[in-house]
Amino acid sequence: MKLTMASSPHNHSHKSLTRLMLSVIAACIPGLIAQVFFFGTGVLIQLVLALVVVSVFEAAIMLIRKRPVWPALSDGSAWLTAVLLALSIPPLAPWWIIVIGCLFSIVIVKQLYGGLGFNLFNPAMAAYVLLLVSFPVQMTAWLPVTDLINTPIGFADQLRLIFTDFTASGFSLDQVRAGVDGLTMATPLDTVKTDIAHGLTVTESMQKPIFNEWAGLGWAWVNLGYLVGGLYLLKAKIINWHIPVSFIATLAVCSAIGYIASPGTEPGTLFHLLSGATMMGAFFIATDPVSAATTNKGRLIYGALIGLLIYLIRTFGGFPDAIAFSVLLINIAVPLIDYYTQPRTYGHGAVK
Amino acid sequence: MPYSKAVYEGKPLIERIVTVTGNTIHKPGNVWALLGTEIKHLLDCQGFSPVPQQSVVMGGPMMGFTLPTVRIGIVKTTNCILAPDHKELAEPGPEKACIRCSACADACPASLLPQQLQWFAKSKEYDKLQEHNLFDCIECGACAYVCPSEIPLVQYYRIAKVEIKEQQADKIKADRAKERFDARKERLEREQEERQNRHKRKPAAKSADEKQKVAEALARVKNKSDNGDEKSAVAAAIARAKAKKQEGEELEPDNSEVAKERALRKEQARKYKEQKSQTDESAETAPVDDKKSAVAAAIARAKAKKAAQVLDNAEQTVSEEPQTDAPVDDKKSAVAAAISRAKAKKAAQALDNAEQTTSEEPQTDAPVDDKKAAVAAAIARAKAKKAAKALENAEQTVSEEPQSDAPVDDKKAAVAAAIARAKAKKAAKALEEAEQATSEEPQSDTPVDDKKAAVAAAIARAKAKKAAKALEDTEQTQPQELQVDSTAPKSAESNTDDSSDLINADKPKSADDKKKAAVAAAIARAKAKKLQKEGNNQS
Repeated sequence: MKLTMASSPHNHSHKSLTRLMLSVIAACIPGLIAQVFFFGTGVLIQLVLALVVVSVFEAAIMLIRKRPVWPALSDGSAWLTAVLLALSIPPLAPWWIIVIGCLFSIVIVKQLYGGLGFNLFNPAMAAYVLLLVSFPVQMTAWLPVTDLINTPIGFADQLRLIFTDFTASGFSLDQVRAGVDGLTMATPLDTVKTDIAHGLTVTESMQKPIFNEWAGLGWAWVNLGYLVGGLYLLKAKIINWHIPVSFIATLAVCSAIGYIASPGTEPGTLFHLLSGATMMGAFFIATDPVSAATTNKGRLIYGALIGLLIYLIRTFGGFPDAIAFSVLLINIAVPLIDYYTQPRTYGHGAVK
Repeated sequence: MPYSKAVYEGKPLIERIVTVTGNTIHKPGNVWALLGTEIKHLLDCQGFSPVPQQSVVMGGPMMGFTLPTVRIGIVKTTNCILAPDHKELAEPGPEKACIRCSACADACPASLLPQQLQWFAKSKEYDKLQEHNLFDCIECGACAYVCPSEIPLVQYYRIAKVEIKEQQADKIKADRAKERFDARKERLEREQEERQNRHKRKPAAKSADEKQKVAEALARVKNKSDNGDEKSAVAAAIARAKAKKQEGEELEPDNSEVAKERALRKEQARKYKEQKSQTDESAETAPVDDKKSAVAAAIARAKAKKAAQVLDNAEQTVSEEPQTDAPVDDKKSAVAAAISRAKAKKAAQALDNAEQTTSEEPQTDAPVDDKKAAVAAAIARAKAKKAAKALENAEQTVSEEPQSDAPVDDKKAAVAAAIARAKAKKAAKALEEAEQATSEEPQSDTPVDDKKAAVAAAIARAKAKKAAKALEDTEQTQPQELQVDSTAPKSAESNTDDSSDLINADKPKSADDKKKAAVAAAIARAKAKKLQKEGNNQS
């Protein structure tokens, strides 16, 4: 009788890469629902488009690299990148925005660095930064929440807007974005920043219709949706608590200190936590295992540094939000953080 | 439990409980099994129905190892025999890329960083692996169990561990080899140095010994030479040197040569001494007198000079030989013989005159002198006359024989020359006797008057010289004119060498060949030189 030889362990947890990635994608669903509810179905169009484009690019680059296509595609990492990028860009951005973003994230940021596990930077965020820097107009053309839109647009019109830049009735995106009063509306973060720059207090600025009691109208719910998804990830032990907790805690502490120090120009902790992409960044972006720190202590530092950078850029920087920049900047510091945060091996003295 | 039985009942550990389980086992359970029980037997007893690509694990699913065969016995550490089907313990899927999720680090009971270890193991950075405490890994398999990429982490660590151990073993081996090599090198250097030092020290140490030995040898040699056993002494010295060479391991090879040289020199010195002693003996026989010894020395010197001159002449003739054509005319030789004869006569006459003067001189001195001196002088004169007569005879024969033989044959001429040579020798001997007589004369005169005797001796010497000169003249004329008899002076001088005779005999034959003659001449010259040297040495 011929017996099969194998190396121990002979058992496995049945965790798999695909399962992991799909779990993360699934965890995005609450946030996605919130986004669709408040900002229309355009995000779904972007999502499908991104998934298709990303699959094509991943397959193409694997063929060029002469590697098996399906194992790379089926691990789901490219799809996760596509989902995160699609959720990050304005829902009615032109189709080529997402195509360029997918191309850059998959081909350049991920595969040219050696594929999954070897990329230094978070692919979705690198692509987001590229798009933001290269196409600032398209990348900041966020719609106000559906309730505030003058002429609500249907799914067909959104599709037309994404692929032809014009609705069926010939309205451009800018015209569609115009509020009830005929003015284009910025995101809550941008509005506050601009208003404070114009000498208004935060309280005065938050009287505007795009805000509700705590933060931007709709944005708070989107953030809460991602928080729910993030909590699921923690519960499923897909991510560790270290990065999101230190991330959120640092941002909260910083904004609280800022609010105490200068209540007139500081929107406060809740506003910071529920505005922009804070929760998505904390649970879905910064926790990207490949580009994040690997030791638990390092993860705490990593998350804290991202939180700090977000607060600093939001408050003192030129951009309204700073998740992508912060994450990318701290990605650079990851090897250093890992090196200096090696845990003490059991039975050994403290690491030098 | 079996372990307490060892204490309470004295029963050694010969059996243990083994869990036999797995989805392919119909009646899984724990069984008492004697150590060495075949695993196949255990499986069969529990109802084993293998699946394709069945694997049997000894131990648990995490740290157990698959068996290559079931036909082996259980050992003390066999806690479980696991025979799973593929649903129970699925075959590992393909390894995927590590996403650095660090699930492995979270699972590691030793707080290692399995993910980093995996990177280092893949890139074979063994120093980094040890830096990250790879050898603290207990291979529990938790990291591989939780890995979403299904990376066989433990397998990587095992391979890396083995490679590191091999490297270390190699390094230890290499270090030992180097140590051995260094030790050997050092030992060789040390030995060489010791050898050199021995060489350096030995001569210094020996020099004193050797000096003493040499001194002893010299003393012995002196004693022996006194005894007259010179040759045996030399032989003994050589033998001793050889013996030393054999005995002394570190004796340098040069020493024997040096010793030989020394022995040779000693021999020469001894010979010289011998000669001296001989000459001294003659002096000793006479009453001890400085003047007499001086006279003897003078005679010796004169003889040496004569010999030298004769040698020179011989060389001249030898050098002249090749020039003169070999096929010489007999008539010419005859003429030459005639001339030589005439010269010989003249010489004889001159000798007679000299004798007359010598005889006259003592006469004038005679009234002053004692009778004894006169008698001695007379004896000397008589001897001189005899010598002169002998010379004349020799010359006559020399002159006569060429005349008769010349027309006949060259060989005959050679024979005649040989006879002439013999005669010349005789004459020379006579002359020597005469000289001896003159030297002996003072012996008898010593009691009478030293001055007179000296005068007489001087006269005698002068006569002898004259006679010698005359002889030389004849000798000179003979070779020059008797071209055939070229070797006459040589043989006449001292030694009739066999080889030289041979050459002489060959001369007429080689007359046709100039080259041969030249070679012969060269040989002759060389011999002549040798003779001269010998003469010098003797003198």
